[in-house]
Amino acid sequence: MSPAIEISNLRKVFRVRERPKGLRGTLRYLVNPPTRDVAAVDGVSFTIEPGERVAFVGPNGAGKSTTIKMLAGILHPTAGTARVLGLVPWGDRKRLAYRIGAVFGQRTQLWYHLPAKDTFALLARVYDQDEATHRHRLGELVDAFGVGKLLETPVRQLSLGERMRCEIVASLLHAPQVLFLDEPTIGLDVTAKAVIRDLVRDTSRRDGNTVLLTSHDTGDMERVCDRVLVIHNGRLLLDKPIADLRGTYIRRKVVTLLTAEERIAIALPGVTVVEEASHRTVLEVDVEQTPIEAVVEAALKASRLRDLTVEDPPMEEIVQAIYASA
Amino acid sequence: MKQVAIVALAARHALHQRGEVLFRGVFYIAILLIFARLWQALGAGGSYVWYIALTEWIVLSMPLLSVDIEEDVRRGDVAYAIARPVSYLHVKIAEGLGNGLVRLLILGGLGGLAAWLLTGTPPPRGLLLSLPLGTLAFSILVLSQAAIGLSAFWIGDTAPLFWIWQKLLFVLGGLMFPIDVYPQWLQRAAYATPFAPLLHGWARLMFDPDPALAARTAALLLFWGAALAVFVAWLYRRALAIMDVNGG
Repeated sequence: MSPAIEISNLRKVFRVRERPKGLRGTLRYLVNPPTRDVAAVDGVSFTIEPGERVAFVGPNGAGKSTTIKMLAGILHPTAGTARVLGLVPWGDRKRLAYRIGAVFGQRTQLWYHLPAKDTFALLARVYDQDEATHRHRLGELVDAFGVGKLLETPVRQLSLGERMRCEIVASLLHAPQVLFLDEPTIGLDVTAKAVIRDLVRDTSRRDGNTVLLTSHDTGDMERVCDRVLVIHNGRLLLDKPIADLRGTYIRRKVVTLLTAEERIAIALPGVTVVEEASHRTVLEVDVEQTPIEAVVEAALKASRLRDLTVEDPPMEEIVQAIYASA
Repeated sequence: MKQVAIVALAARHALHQRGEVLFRGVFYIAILLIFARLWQALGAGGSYVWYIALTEWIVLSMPLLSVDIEEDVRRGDVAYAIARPVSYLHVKIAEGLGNGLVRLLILGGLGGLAAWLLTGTPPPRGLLLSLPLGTLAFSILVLSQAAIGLSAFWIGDTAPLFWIWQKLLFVLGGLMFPIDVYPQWLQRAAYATPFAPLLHGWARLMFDPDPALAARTAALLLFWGAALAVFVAWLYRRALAIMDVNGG
C-alpha cells in the first residue's frame, strides 16, 4: 500500500519585507522595500502510512502550519517533493480537496446564525455528495459524535465544545482519507478536550483515516496519536512512536494536592516537593521511578485529600528536552 | 450548482441579521422623505422620487463584501478556504449576492411602499425596464467590492480605497440627482466612467422609459461587468501568487 503522506526535502522560503530605520530608510521602503528570505520549512522529510495518527509538534514559528499548508496544496514549496494520497498537493489541489479534511481550531466553517445541519447540507453540495450518501454519512457521524440534539440549534447558541464537535463532523462528512487537525482542542475545558480526543481517535480507528495533528497540548498527542514528529526552526528534530517519547521525555508529571492538613510529607523515590503552601502541596513525580497511582495512594494514606490534579509538563519543556538531547 | 447553494444559504443567514437591515431601512425612508419634500418644493414630478428610491435601494442593499474579504486576508483565512473544492472568490461573491438578495427584497418592499405613498403609482413601463437592469448593476457592484476586498493583499487596509470608490459612485453615478442636472463638464466626465450606467443609466428609465435606452444601458452594464469579471479573476490569481510568496 502506498503511503498516505510522503514528503522529501521539503523547503519553503518566504520573502519578508524589512523596514529600515530613519526617514531615508522609510522612503526607500516605500519605493523599493528591502526584503529578506526566511526558510519556514528547511528540508523536511517523512512518510506517514494510511491509518496512522501522527502528532506534528513544535514551538510557534517552527514550520508546522507552513508544512500543513503545503500538504493541503495551499502553498507551493520552494524545493522538495510531496505526495498526499498519491497526488502532488499544489498540482492537484482540487482533486485532493475531495479526499482530505481539515479542522483549524481557531477558524470556523459553520454558519453562525444557522443550525449546523444547514452547513452540513451545503458541504454535501460543495463536495458533490448525493442526498442518500450524505444522509447515511451524516447519520453515522451524528451517532458517533453525539450531536443529534445540536443539529437544529443555531451555531451561535452552541458551547465551544459542542461547536468543535460539529466542526469535526463537518470536516469528516465527505469521508476524507487524510485529516489535518490544527489545535483542535484550543480553548476547550478539560471534559470537552477529552471528548474531542476520544472521538478523533475512535473515528480514525473505525474509518481508517490518517490523522496529522498539530497541538501545543501534550494531552492531544498522547491521547490521539501513535507517533510524533517534532519540528523546530523548519527542521525535523525527532520522529518517534509516542510511547518512546513518553518514556524518554514525558517522564515527569506535576501533581497538586489540596489537603485538610496544613502540610503533608510524602517520601517516595523520584517525588520532590516543588511548592508548598497552606493545605496545598505541589509535587514533581518521575513516573519511571514511582507511578502516579503510588503517589495518589501515599497521599490518601498521609492526608484527607480534598482535591488532586495531575498535569503534564508544558509542551515547550518537552521540546526543550528534545533539543537538549538532539 | 455549488455557488447557487451558497447564495441560498447566505440569504437564509442574512434573514437573521434583522437589526442591520432595519437600520438601513430607517435611513432609506428618511432619505426618501427628505428628497420627496425637496423635489416637491422645486415643483418636480414624482419620477424624481422614484429615481432616488431606485438608486438608494441598490446602494443600501450592498453588502460590505470588501470588509469581509479584507478580514479574511488579515486573519489568514483565505489560505484555509482555498483548500476546498470550490473557489474562495466564487464563495465570497455568492455570499455577497445571497446577503444582498435579502436586503434587495426587504428594502425594495419598504422603499417601494414609501415612494408609492409619497408620490403615487410609478410609471409602470419605467419600473419594468429598470428593475432587471438595477439587479444586474447590483451584481456588478458586488463584483467591484470583491476587487476592493482583494486589494487588501497589497494595501492591507481597504477602507480608503472603498471610501474613494463609494464617493465616485455617489457623484459620478448620480445617486442623489440624475446626471442630467449636473453641469455639462461633469456630465461628460460621469458618462465616460463605468459609474454612470451603474446607477443613473437604468434609474433614469423612470423619466424616459425608452426600450432603446434600456438596451444601450444593458449593453454598457454587460461590457463593464465582463471587464470587471476579467479584472477580478486576474486580481485573484495575483493574490494567490502573493500569498504563496509571503505565506498564508
